[in-house]
Amino acid sequence: MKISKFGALLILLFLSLGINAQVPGFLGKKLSINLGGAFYPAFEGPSKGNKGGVDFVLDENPQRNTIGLNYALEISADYTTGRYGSVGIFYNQYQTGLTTRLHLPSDVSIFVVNHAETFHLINAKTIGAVFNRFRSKQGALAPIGRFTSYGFERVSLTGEITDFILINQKGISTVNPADVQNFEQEHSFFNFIFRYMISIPLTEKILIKPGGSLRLPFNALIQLAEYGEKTSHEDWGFNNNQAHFDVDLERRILLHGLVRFELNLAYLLF
Amino acid sequence: MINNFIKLLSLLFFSIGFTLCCSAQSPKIISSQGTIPQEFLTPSSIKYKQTIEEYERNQRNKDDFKTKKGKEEFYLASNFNIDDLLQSGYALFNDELGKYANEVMNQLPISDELKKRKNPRIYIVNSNDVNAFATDQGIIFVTLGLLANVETEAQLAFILAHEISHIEEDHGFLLGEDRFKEIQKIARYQLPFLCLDNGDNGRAIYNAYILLKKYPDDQALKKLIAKALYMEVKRQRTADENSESRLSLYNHVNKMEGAIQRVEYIFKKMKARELTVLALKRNYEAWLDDPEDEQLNMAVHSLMVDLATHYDNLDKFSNKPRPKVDDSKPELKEEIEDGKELTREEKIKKANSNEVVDDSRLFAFVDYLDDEDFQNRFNKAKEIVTAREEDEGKSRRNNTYYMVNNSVSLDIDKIVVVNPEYVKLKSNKDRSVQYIQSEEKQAEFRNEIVEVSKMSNLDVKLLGLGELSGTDLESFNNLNELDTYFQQQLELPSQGLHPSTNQTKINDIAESYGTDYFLWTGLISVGRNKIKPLAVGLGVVFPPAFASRIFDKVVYNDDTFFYAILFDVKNGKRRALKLDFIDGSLTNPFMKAHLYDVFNQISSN
Repeated sequence: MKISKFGALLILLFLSLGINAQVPGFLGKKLSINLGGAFYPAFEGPSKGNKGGVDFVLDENPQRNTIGLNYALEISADYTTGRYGSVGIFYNQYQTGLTTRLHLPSDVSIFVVNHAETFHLINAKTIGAVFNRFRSKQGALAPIGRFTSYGFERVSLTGEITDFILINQKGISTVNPADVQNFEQEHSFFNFIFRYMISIPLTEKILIKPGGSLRLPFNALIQLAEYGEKTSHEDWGFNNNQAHFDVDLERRILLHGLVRFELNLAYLLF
Repeated sequence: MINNFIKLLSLLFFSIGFTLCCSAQSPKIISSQGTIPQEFLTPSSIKYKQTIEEYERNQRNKDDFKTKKGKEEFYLASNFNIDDLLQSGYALFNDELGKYANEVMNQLPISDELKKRKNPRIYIVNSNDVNAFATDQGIIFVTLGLLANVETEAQLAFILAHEISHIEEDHGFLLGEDRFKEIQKIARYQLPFLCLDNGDNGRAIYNAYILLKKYPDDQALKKLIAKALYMEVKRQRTADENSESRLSLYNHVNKMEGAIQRVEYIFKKMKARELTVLALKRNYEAWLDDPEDEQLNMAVHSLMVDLATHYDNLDKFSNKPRPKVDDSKPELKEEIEDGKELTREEKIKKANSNEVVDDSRLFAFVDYLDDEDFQNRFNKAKEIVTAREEDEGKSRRNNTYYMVNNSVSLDIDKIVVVNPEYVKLKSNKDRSVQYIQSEEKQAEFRNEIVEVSKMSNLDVKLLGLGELSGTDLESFNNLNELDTYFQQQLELPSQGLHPSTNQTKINDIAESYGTDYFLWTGLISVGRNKIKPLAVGLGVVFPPAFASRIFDKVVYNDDTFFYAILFDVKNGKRRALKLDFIDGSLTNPFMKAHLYDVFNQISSN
């Protein structure tokens, strides 16, 4: 269902393709493929390989309020639709980490609380579409010059629990590690994208595009508004693991990669 | 005694013959001839370098630092300004007047040293100003206005002598007064044409009328008056279009002197419809005399459209001659109303309320009002006006300057790019024009045009001074005609078709290049002293930025104006392909991209 919605949005975005008359492009070339990367401060929480904070240390509590540096790799294609406009689709992926506490059922006593501090290695794959508006007042002429992009992306996250610590507050451990490992860790959501970039021609076929972007996770904003007050895990009881995970994840993603510095190299095909 | 009498008789006979000859044949309009002198084509920066080298060889070590800087600045401005004049097309070479002036100068005792060092030479400047001035390069510019106004050869010699070496001697008779009169005649004949080209319509009409007394059958002068009236109508319409007051066009009238003031005053006082009727009458009559003149034909059409905006039909105009009016002053009658004599104040009020109708315009078309051609033309013009009013009701977009975001193809195969320009200015400097950078950028701009034209599907001919050689006199003259055309067209109203005063020549030029489409394009870059906080921040974070050219970007914020206007020169249609005010400077790839965009809009795909 989500895919079909995404498809509908994509169609809407590309509708402008059919309307154009005689579009100059850059010296006649309108279609470009881009390879690039985004570097961004990853706020809060640990990650594997220092992606987004300090390394996860099993013996200690995870450190909050730290900033690391993460990166994403991206491939995209842009097509110039007008003198001051172009549309693009992109695919990018990155990795990050998340610690969360999973509450686990106890078979001894209802008063015994078992839980696991877990580390999830998150793989994010993103596909999205943007509309680029070139700024004519600064001499831009699509696809070169300064432009702002508006668009959306669909992020698919898959988590893998790579480390965990089982904790029994009463000192009796009855948790089966398989309960932790079988926990469902798939998630997807939408982001709004706002981007500002400069496309500078290096040669007649190669452009370099430095810039920055802001991503607002649509789902996360809604969920935070809903659950924002209920951040204490204890209040939630035992059976709300998925909700815990979701909120932690949304919060993590919201802070992580909110602002990105991007650098793309574009090759103009035709 | 008898000998003297015979001499006197022969002189008288010669004079009469000469006068008869004058009245029979009008002088020709002068223009540049032969090979273009090298100094017209050499880039100013090269001349500047040569001047500096010469200065360094001779005198530089003697001057202190401040003087050196001052002189270098003077040589820079002087070289570029003089070249501006040389290349403007107003400076003529190898023309009859110039040759004569040079001959007069050669009669003057100029020292060999001066001849060797400066090689004094004269160029006539096609200007109605009365002026002559010398430059440090040894060039003396004499305006055509001066030649037309000096009464004797001696006066000219004196001015030249003054310009060369301030000689105080009287040089009475050098080459002969007859020849001088001939030269003066040419200069005076050319003057009204020059005034017309410069947009000085009142002066053109005044000068033409004076010449018509001497050459009553001169068709060119009659046409000139018609054209000047036509241009004046258009000038007023442009003011209306730009929401300027018509009267503001004549603000200078009070400061004018002489009889020309009266002409301008009449223009000021005439109503728009009166001037239109007068211009149409003159143009239509001139066209009837020469129906082959396409330019007049277009002017009549254009004025007919103007007439149709003022009048719904031709019923108001009379087809019978005006009855003869008794010119004698009417007797003053005692005005009595309701059996009571009016007071003086009441008389004035009454006189003001009865608006005096000057109906002379209603008899303007008596001779041809019933002509089918005249009526058809009016009806056609009325249709155009009606259609235009409907269009304006539908959309407020100005169709000539309207530019679409997604460009459309104009399906044109060949264009001529006329003298592309790049001017670089810095507003915070004493001398705002950056001559050297402007010339460098101009050369780059031309190269980009050539390069981009190869990529686009368009046959582009670049016509500029940089592309001319000494033998391209025709191109040089074409360039000047096209520049005059462009300047005039910018002053004409944007709607409708308006031929320029040199339309016939322009049509010939279009024929010779095999296209009707001429493109005027250029960039004006203005550097302002405005500190950009972002750039300063960059400098603070990364100090080497201050040491590099980035610093320039920090201090100066360039604003660039890029224009590209395509004219269909035969029918005056124009289309602005680019009128962009750009916040920032344009680097070469961007310049290229914009040029490609311009050519892409023109070409056929």
